[in-house]
Amino acid sequence: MTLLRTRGLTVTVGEHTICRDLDLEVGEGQRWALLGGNGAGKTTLLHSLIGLHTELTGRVELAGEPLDRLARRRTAQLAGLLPQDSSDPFPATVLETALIGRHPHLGPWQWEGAADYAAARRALAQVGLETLEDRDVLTLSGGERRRLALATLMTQDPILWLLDEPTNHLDLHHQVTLLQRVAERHSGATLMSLHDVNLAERFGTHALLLFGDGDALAGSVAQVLDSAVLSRLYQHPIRQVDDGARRLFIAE
Amino acid sequence: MTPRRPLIALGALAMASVASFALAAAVGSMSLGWPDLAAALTGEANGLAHSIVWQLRLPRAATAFIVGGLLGLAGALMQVLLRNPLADPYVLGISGGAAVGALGTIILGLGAVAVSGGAMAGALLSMVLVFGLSHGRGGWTPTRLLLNGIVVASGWGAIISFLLSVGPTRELRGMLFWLMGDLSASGGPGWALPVLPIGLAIAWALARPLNIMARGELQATVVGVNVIPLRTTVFILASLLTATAVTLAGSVGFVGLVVPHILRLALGNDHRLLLPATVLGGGILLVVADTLARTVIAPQQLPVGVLSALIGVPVFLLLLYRGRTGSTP
Repeated sequence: MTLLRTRGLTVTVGEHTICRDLDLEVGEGQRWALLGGNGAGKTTLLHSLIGLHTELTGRVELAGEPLDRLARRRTAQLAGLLPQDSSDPFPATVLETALIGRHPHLGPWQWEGAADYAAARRALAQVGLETLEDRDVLTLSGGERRRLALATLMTQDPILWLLDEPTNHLDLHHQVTLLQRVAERHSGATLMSLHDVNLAERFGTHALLLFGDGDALAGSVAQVLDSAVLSRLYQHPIRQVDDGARRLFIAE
Repeated sequence: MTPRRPLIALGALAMASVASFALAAAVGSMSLGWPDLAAALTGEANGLAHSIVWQLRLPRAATAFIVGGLLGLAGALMQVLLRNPLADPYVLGISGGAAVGALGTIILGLGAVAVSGGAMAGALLSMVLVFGLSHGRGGWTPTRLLLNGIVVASGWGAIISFLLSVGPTRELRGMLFWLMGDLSASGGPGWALPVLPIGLAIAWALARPLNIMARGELQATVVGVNVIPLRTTVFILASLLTATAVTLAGSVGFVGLVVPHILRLALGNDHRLLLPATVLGGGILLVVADTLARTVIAPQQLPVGVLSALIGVPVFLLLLYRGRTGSTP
């Protein structure tokens, strides 16, 4: 089943074109890595797919429903975003922060019930924060904050996950475990912007490359990722190395 | 948070509110002990005690409570709207506009009703001005709204200084009392009585989306909050609550900053609990402050704003000193 479909999608920011006439189909069980240099428009494209950036032409459909006709709450049930950064001017506990994800599932007068708390605690356990649920988010490290943001998205439990640089602030161990959690998900689909081509190669099934001039390239990881394309993508020579088990890309 | 803890906290605040009213009714030029007070309240006492309690002290305490409640609620709403724990109801210039309207009518020598009308008109003008300035192309951000509000407030400040310079000397005392916040001329809350419960009901209905908007507009939109109508509603609601408060009592300071602050520290940031708590907390603070204002150097009365600030400033400094106020811009 196609969870996300774009038809002739052109996204612009002022004079800058992020992608031109993009046709994309993201199916159930697929994990798309979104790659591109700084300023290529990865964040803008992710925002466009859930209606946060509206400077666009063409069609976007979530689970077969046109995005521009979906209510905000319905969009939140279908698609969720892990933002690139999060800031908190007011103190709040880790558990309260994860519980935010239940908002699109609750009626206007409903309080969070036992099932909502259970969902939030399950998500915190998945990212290894279960012992910190009463901690103030302002006291968390950057990496813990990042894992909490993912737990909030897990609590929201949309079918399409849009992850904006999910590995930001994470050490190598947590980069790999977080992406393993993403890969272990049994249903739904993921589109995640990454800066590490090797993580994209290892955890992605597909890749979408934004070249920064409006050109885009989409396909399976095996087809799309090679040293020539990546060298063009990053405007930097990139070499492929095979260690027998996997191929690795190294910047010269 | 389970609904039980909020009920305990709100129950305690409600009892403290009743106690503050009892204090306001008992203390004054004619002090009443508990038996006298009970007798006066039930109407069994002599006529004088009965009329002092029912016609002077309780109406004035009710006005103080409503002004404090309005300011506490408006402060909590402004803090979320501007995503800044240091925002207060006056930061966007509402009180400045009201002050210009009120001082202008005082200079013209018009009566108390005209002063209230002038204050309300100035507050609404300021609200429309800031809203219009912030609502230009590209939509508004909390920073843009705050900047516009501060600039407009500074403009009002200049006009206030001008009016104080040119105003007739015999009116200066009244003008200064208005600026400090004063309840000595006030009777009962009158038309403003329903504003507080209606405002609280509207705000409370928005409490869960407000919890989420406090985390940032991007996060709020992602989990399904319609941010633009929400913040427009919150802006208008907080402005009207503030306008009502300043119309009743002038610009009483610090209640709208300190009360939401103390309660955020004590109860957390769940607005379903916080918003009703700020109404009760603001009301209690102002009833107590006003009772002190009319008794500490009796028979002379002080402006209630002096007492609320005298209580508010040390509490605020203590909070900053303890360093638990969250990030400051």
